[in-house]
Amino acid sequence: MMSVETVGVLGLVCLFVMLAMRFSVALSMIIVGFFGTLLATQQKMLALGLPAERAASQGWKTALSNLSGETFEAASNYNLLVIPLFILMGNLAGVSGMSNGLFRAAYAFLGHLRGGLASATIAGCAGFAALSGSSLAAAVTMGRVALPEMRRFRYDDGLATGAVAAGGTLGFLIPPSGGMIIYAILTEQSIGQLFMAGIIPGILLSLLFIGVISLQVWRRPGLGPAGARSDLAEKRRALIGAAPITTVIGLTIAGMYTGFFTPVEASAFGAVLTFAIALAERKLSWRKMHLVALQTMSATSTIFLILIGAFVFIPFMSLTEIPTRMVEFLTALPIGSLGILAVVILVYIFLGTFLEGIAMLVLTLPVVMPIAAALGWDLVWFGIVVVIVLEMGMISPPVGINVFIVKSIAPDVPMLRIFAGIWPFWFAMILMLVLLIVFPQIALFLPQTMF
Amino acid sequence: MARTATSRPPAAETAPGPGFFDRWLVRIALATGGTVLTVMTLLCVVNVLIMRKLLAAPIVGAEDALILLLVTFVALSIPFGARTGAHIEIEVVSEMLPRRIALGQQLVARLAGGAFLALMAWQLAEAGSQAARFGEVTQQLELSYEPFYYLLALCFGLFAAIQIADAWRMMRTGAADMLSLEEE
Amino acid sequence: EQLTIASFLPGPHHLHTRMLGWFGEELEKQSGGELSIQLFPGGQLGAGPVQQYKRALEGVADMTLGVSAYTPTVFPKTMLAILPGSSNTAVESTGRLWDAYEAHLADEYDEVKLIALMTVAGNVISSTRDLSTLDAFAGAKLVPYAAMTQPILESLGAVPVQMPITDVYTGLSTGTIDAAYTSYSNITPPWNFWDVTPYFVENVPVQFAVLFLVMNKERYQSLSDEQRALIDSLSGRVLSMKGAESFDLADTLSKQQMADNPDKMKNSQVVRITDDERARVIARSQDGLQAIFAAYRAKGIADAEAVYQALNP
Ligand code: NA
Ligand code: NA
Repeated sequence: MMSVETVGVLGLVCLFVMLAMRFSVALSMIIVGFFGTLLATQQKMLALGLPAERAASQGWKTALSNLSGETFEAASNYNLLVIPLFILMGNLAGVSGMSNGLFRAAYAFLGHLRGGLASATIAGCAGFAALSGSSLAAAVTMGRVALPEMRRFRYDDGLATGAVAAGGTLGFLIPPSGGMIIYAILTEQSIGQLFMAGIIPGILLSLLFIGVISLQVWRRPGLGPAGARSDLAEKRRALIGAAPITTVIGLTIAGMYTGFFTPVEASAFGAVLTFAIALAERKLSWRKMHLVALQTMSATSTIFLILIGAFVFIPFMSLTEIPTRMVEFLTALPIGSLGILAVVILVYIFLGTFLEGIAMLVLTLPVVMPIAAALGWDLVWFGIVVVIVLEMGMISPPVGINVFIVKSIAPDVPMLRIFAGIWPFWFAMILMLVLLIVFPQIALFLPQTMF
Repeated sequence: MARTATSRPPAAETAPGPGFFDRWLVRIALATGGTVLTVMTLLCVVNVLIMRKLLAAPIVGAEDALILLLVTFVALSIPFGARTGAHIEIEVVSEMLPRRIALGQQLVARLAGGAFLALMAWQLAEAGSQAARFGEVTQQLELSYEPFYYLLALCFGLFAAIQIADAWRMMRTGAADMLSLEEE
Repeated sequence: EQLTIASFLPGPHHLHTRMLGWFGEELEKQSGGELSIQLFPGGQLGAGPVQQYKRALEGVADMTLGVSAYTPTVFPKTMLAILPGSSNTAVESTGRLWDAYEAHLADEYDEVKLIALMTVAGNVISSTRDLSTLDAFAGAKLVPYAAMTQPILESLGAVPVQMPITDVYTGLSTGTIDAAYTSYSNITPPWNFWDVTPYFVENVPVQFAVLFLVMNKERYQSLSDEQRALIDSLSGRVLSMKGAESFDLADTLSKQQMADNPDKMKNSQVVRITDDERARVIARSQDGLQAIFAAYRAKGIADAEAVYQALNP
């Protein structure tokens, strides 16, 4: 007979082995969750003195019931409607080229400054982030527009690729955000409140990124030469070009802030409006619409399968009582709440070097959540902290998904060079974290004043 | 959101076009998933903006319908995502291994994954047959979840088949080509 | 032995601390430490309230706490306790539920061991307009406490709107809805309806929600005779009344908070339906009630009206 804790540790070891063997993250969680539940239930029954046969049959019954039940529960959650709908909105904006307008507008106003193209890239990313829940999509779409432009003006490759990779991560922090939706569902927080909490930190982090760029070109002007100055007519044209997309952003965010829309309603409204604008501007072909539908299915499948994984895995973790033990262990350490927060953040930064953001979120939350709750951290604020740390992981070596995306757009830039261009942005994120910890209101002000 | 699973840069984009099976998968995905996505989006907007906010006459059971549409869309998406490489994998370790061993590892992952997914499909069907006994219906119109369990079962079965087919392809060609959803 | 309880409610919910706290303590004390409970709150053993009944049947947990309305086809007769009638508090309604249990409801729980069955009361309407007369209901977009009472709202001339309680606060503040059935505990923190609601309407015909705590039957059978007898003595009406009292206490505490915080209530006004108006509302509701009974008959439940009468003597 084993203790449930032993079963839990065994399960975690199996999980890591399977991940290393390239089982998909979701499937690893489902499989370990299933067999773990089976074993933990069985051991629990044996401990009660039940005959082995009955213990085993109850183990199977529980595990099988969870396998189908949790799958259905994840797929039939009304609040999760926001996932396909926001993905649809972002894909429509991306495929129809509406995002170019954002970059051109930022370019018109910043392009003539030293490093201005890189700053315009950040601004464009921030704007696109408000339409798309994914940091990948933001990096790809803005990268395709901004990178060729920066190379034309002989920007340093490191600065150029770094700006795109880092700017892309804003997709996760500025609402809508796939990561926040998953966090909200797994921690039973309000999706709308988390979205609102991400707005000010998102804008601040964009400004920090721009500050980091300015600092670099101030010290070494050769990194980012000034581009052409746009005249008034060009500026006006650029502004008009960006108007439709900013309208969509403004309406959906204001709608959620004032409470006119729930997140689900905002996502449907945003998707339909984006579609209507793209259609009116004749930027959608039949082929592009097909592509949008298929991309939406593919991304929906990513998120939902991993959510199913988390839903099957969480009951197993609860049964093993490992989260409870972790809380007991950490809260007994003489380092205080801030010390524990530091430990949690360091662990996340470490995991982020090689794990993918959403995967990391679902893998860690079952253990980290009880800790946050036990220490009385505001779960909305903590969500924003977690999202920023996940973003750091997206651009940190060896596995930085945004870096790979940038590499695929600029294949001739060596990987090392991209990572070298990244670290200033990475420190901007650290600074952002410190600000958030010192001034939690940065995240909490909007959700507390919204309806 | 996370659009592609492979953290490896999609360098080999000159791969041959999709095969017979993939072409049909795309067609079916478009016809079914595209339709469901459209209906779902429109119903959500119409119910909220027009019926509820403007006319103060919400459609009875709209939430029920949206939930069932969501289940359908998710079910259809999952096997499709299996072909586009949508399911996140962690490649750090396998990239450090010799090619043959890494390939063998992936082969094991696909075969074992396929086998487990088949079990999952069976259990979803089993749960469907029990749905009535457990009172699993939508809350307003009391529509049974049973057929939607069967649909999930079917789609997970397809997912299992795709994993096995991927393993087969890997054994023959030494690589697992995914369906690319890039523009052009 | 430890009995696991799966609950979808958040960890510190008063049902956990008061009702289940009492249950666990008594079990442990009276069994000499042989029996105890282990609570898994917040959906730890499985997400959401919908599958709670199933989880008890399949033994995912030894006991599960759930809401009848999430599996309406399993508990149609129990759900008749949701309808407004002669009860005004959770304690009254729960008592009547148990008075009628043996004769009318027991067969709905054949597959499980019923541990507790209790109601929570939706006894105050949070509203952006004064709903203290029957006529004021006409055209009001009103969120019922339970979806099954929609025909009653329709018979009053109101427009029933379905909305999760989590969206009601927003709905009221933005005018998406005009009013919602709530309990007093929604007015004060953590819900804070007092921040956005101009009117709280009292003395309304009360709507209820029914909660159940059920145990896996095989697990129950696996216990010794003494242990079963102990569970029997601590469960049923006794434990259910603890739950109902806990809900009523939450209301009382909230009323106290409303009285103690006049600054919080400065934008809100408590209005009361007079007994005469209330009688008119109830009279007008009869069409809706009959429509509900007719729907029951169509589903093959002929004695719905009789059960309702038994629940509202
Ligand atoms: Na975003
Ligand atoms: Na990383």
